[in-house]
Amino acid sequence: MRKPRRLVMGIFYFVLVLAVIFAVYPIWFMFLASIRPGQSLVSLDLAGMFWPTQVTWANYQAMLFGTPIPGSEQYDFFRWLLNSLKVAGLTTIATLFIATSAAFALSRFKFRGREGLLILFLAIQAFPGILALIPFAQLLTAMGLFGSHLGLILAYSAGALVFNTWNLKGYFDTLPIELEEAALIDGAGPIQSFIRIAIPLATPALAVTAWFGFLGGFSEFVLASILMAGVPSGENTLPVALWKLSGSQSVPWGQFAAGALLISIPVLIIFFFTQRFLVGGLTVGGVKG
Amino acid sequence: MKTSRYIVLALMVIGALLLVACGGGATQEPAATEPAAEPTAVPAEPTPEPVVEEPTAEPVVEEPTAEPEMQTITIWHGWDGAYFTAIEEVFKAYEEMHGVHIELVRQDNLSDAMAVAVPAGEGPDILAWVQDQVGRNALVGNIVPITEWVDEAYLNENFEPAAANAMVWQGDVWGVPEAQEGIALVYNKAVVTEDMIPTDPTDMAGLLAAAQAFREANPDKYFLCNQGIGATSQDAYHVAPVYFSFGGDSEVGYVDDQGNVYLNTPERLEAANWLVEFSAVAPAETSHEICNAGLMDGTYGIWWTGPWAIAGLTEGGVDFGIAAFGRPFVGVKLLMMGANAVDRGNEAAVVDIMKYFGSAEVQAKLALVNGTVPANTAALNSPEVQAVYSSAAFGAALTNGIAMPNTPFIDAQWGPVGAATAAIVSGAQTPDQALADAQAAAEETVAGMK
Amino acid sequence: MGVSYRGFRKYLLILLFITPTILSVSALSVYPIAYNVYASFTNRNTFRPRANCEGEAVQGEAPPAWQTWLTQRMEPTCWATFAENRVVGRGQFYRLTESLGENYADMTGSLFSRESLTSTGLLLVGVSPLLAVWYVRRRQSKLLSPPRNGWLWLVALAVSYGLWQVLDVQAALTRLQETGDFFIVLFRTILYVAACIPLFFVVGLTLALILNNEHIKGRGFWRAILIIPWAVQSYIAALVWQFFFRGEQGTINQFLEALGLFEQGPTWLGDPERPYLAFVAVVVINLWMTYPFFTVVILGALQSISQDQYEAAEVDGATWWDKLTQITLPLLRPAVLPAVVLSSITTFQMFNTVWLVTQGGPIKGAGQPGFTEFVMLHAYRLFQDQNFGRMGAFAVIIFVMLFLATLFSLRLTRITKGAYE
Repeated sequence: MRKPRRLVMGIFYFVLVLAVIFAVYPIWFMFLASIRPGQSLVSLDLAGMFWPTQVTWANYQAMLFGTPIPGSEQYDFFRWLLNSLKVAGLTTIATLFIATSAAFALSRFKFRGREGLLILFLAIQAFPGILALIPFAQLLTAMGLFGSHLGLILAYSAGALVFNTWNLKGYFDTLPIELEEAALIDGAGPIQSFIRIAIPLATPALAVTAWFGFLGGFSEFVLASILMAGVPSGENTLPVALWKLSGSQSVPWGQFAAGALLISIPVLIIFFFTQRFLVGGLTVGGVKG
Repeated sequence: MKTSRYIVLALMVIGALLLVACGGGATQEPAATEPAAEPTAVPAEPTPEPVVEEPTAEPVVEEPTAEPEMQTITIWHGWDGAYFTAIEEVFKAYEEMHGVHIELVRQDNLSDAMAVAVPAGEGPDILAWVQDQVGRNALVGNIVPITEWVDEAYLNENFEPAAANAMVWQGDVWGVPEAQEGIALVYNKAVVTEDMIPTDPTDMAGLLAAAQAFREANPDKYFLCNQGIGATSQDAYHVAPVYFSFGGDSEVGYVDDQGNVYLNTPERLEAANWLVEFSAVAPAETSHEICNAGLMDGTYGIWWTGPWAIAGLTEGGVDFGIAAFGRPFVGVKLLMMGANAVDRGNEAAVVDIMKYFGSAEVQAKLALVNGTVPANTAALNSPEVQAVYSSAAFGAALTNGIAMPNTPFIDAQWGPVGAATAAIVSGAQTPDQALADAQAAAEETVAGMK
Repeated sequence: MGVSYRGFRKYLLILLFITPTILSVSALSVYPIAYNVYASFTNRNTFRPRANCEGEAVQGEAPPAWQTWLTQRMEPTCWATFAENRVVGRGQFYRLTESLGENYADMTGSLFSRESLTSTGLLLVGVSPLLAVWYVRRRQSKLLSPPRNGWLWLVALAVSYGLWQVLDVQAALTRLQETGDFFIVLFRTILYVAACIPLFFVVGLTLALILNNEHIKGRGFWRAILIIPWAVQSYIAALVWQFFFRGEQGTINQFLEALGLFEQGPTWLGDPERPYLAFVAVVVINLWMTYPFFTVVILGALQSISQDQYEAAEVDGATWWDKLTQITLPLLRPAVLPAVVLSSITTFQMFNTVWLVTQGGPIKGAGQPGFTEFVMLHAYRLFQDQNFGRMGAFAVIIFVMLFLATLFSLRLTRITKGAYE
């Protein structure tokens, strides 16, 4: 790739800086709320919207270690984190496997009913699921999955599958078929060509799929709070558990903000370490035309 | 040859995935209609858990007959932070006295969670909520009446009249009251002095005049912030004391037990005109966060709010006073018996816990720590509780209040009143137009319910 | 296709690949949809919450056997699993409505009367020249050397304008608005989707193209930072954004006022005279929440485009605009369309964020939809009376409309076609 002119590079960096301000300022504002005493989400003073005036770490302490109550065993941040990571992680793995194979078949094979299937998936997505929340939860309950992580994983996977199948299928469509044909001529079977050729080439789309599945499971609140309604505190996922720690009527915004930021930190760490998979595919595979 | 091995391999992988995804539970036929021979409420086997955890983590329904273990009573509630801490201690004391285990579970989406958990037999024994939920939950069957154990005479003897009345619906008693809640004027003493607030709690004209005078003297500040009065607020609860303080049909609130709507009355119109004048000297947009921040940094003199705001203000180091004003909506928190308590044979224990929690000693103790307004008369009038500033001050405000109805018709009021108020304050509609529309909209909703 | 499998073995293979998806998607989605359709024909509400599982007689009249049969299968509380803890409240039994489409008629108002259908027809005729040009150009774009005929758009616009005046489409539009809230709400929701999706795409594409440029230093850093909004819970973010848009106290206005641009900035979220301000606000907030997703999807999709194609084009003297429109965009299409279609659906069904920020406001008054009251907010407002029958009907109507729109867009974009065709 030829290096663009300096003016163009300047514009690129300028756009990036603008985008970063747009992206980060609300987060910074949340951080300010989380270290402000008095549980106030906002500051009416212009300076206070950009820089901390008073600093307290009590909200983080409360979210991470709980308010110390004698004899109380309700606070276990790291266990909740582990629950969330487990639910989100298994959701990711399940959607990755299931969606990838289906997408590959839908992209590479011609068979009757294929279009019908793709349309069926879309139809399901077009249904306003929030209005069917209770029967959905009751179905899971009837399957014996009330109050179990498995039920959540199943629900999240089903929710993420439609997009992921479609997205991966779209990506497979863009991959040059010649590479797989070459492999077939060399004597590989379709499954081999799927695993050896298509999957490595599709790494960027797989990364998108994985994040989509992970984020869907990690920070979801509504389903988790209904399906895990009666379970002991230790079984909760992180968003639900942190919500339960804070108040409803008194709206402890400082704690909410601290909790929201704490929940997003693991996501960011995982994103940071996996983002290199987003670029890859053709250029990494060394299979330039 | 080689490829068929791959097929087998892939089949195995996908089969394993399916097992993970569907678990053991998928074998149960969801639409089975034949009567079940064996109890099906509990999954036959613990579902496979991919991450190692103690086996006790799975929710298990207590078998009341297999008695050697301790009886467990589950309470679903919406108690928060510091308030909750004190309640937890109260129940801990009960556990030690009576040898039962009390499991306190905080719920966000109580009605959805109940809809799913109660039919599954996983619902709570006790439900702690507010009285406006009584009617709807009694209709669905989420809660059961406790008239057998707690009669109206007991309620009238021990509790404030508004709280006792709030427990009764369709001739049955549905709960034991805990605390009463309503809003009053919470003022920042550094900005507003007590003598600026009219002494007569229904002197709405005086309040308006005070707000206008204050605004004139302090052009960069506002006298009063009410999160129900703003161009973007749709909050029929916080604006209620304005609508209720002009006399007339105020006693019945917005909607009564029979579903009659009282929004387009001369008194309400007077209130609406007051809102128009008041909003000229009030913040254009309000919300819980804005009022809270403004009161703390001294931009706003008064916040028309309830006991729940006190903890944050104390933490923020504000020197505040509380003045009773207007006729607020009174919410009564209560404990109700969940339908599953009957299936588990826990009725007696549940009623005992409810009575314990409503008792004068417990409620006085909670008021001392939390500054609540006890529903228990003896607790409310005890010298210790009266010495607690916020309990006494909010208690005084509630004596003028209007009890929230406990019928399901109450749901018809929130939307129309909120929208009408926003339209009045933002100037989208004239007061009479807005109230006429609200009356029509609420009546339509009520008609849809009948 | 070129694979050596035929017949039975091929189908076994296909089955192997797609069965897990079909199972998990349909098991958990089909029943809730079916339940909603069933509920949409009942009169269930707060006062009639009970399912008549045993077919008990109500006022001396037992429901027909088929109704009981249906109830036993559709209503979870009638299932054997839940029989033991079946709740019995003070409420009445619900049953199917007297006339079958009652709830549907309630929801749509007079939208399907002859008058409003005529108005819809007029509206379509009014925009038909534009559609025609679009169709012609699309056909031509498949030719080897498509003619440059962008001027056709101007002609179509002029013809459209003429038709608009002659047929008095404006009056037809007014008539449609008078058919009830449903049309107004629907129209605004479509407008919202139409404003959001192109914006998501343009912002996502711009950032992805920059981040894909290998001469940008610290691309990993930029990528990680720009993704942050995706990781933050939308609930609290929506409330923070709501505060930014506050008229008097909000950050945006205070900042603009400090710069001296305004004496007093606008009341973004509550000005009934200028409701488009609130519309802009909810679009910006949705952009903040969604652009990372688009950036990531497009960035991923860009990886499948080989550098050689650009280099070849450069040899031919192509400008960056040529490269963008002739190489990048066409090649991105199959990979990005799913994201576009599916986020159109989610935007159409948007509830939480808009509700938290505007509650549907600026408010016109009780009983009238607010200016940002999109379909799901409208549904929420309608169902404060817990009328589950009408809720079901509403869900089904939304479902059918969205599905038809999606099918139509699929036909246009042909993304259901496989790679080999």
